[in-house]
Amino acid sequence: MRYKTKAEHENDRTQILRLMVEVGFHPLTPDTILSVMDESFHSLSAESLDFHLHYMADKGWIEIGEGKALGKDSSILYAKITAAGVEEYDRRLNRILKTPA
Amino acid sequence: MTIPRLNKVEVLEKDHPGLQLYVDSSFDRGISGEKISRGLHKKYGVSLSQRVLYKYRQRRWGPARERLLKGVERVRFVLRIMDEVPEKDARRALIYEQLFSMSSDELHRRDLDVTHLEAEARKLDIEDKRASNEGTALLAKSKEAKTSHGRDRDKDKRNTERAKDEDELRQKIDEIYGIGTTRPSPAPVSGKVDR
Repeated sequence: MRYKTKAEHENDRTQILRLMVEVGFHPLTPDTILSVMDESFHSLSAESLDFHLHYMADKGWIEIGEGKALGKDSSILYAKITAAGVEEYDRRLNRILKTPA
Repeated sequence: MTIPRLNKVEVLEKDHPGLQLYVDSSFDRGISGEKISRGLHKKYGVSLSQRVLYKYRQRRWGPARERLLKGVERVRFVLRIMDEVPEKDARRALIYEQLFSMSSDELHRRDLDVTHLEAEARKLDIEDKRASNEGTALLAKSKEAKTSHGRDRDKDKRNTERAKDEDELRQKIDEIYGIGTTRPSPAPVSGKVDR
């Protein structure tokens, strides 16, 4: 299995933020995020998504709601973008769309 | 299972990380294919025709966006259901977990969508109400049993008092007239007994 580079991880995070910005301040389930990513051929495993969501929640870009079912580990039920997350996405987008003069 | 052919944008993404995101974000912002093509050339040094870009928009960006909107609709629906459930309601967590734990694949496989979610939530609601009703009935039963027990206890107490009064009355009659059919049993003596 090929490990993703840091740039690719950043790219995945930007894609996730992009989806969330599109949704607005509504929560999205990890399953919805994965299915949309899959639709646009962004290979992302459930574990990777879980990692990215926790990372972004720690940064304050998103809010996550976690739940625990009996006999199972705690899992993310939904994720929602925050104002800081929208700003972060805008920052990233400006960097992406900036073309050399 | 057929593996879909990769679009040129996806092929180029491998060598130019971020290129696909550039195209996606540009389409999100309503930027024309012509402008995107020019931008890609400037930023990544690649040449992509407008035709390829519009094909990508039609086959990848469009369906992905559609799926996203469907996903958003699903989430909004779940939240609308949750809005109807009072904050303090115990079934809130249960419904929430149930609704969110249902995967899109599961929904598609069972050919169920929003209507299924509604049905599922209603089912949970009904089950919960039934459980709640059963609980209420049980509570009422236990309350009734308690009350009836209390009533019996009161009755016993009253009977004891009445019997005590009758005994006292008989004792008084005995004292006055020197007659009496029954005598109360002597009260138990507590304390030390002198021998």
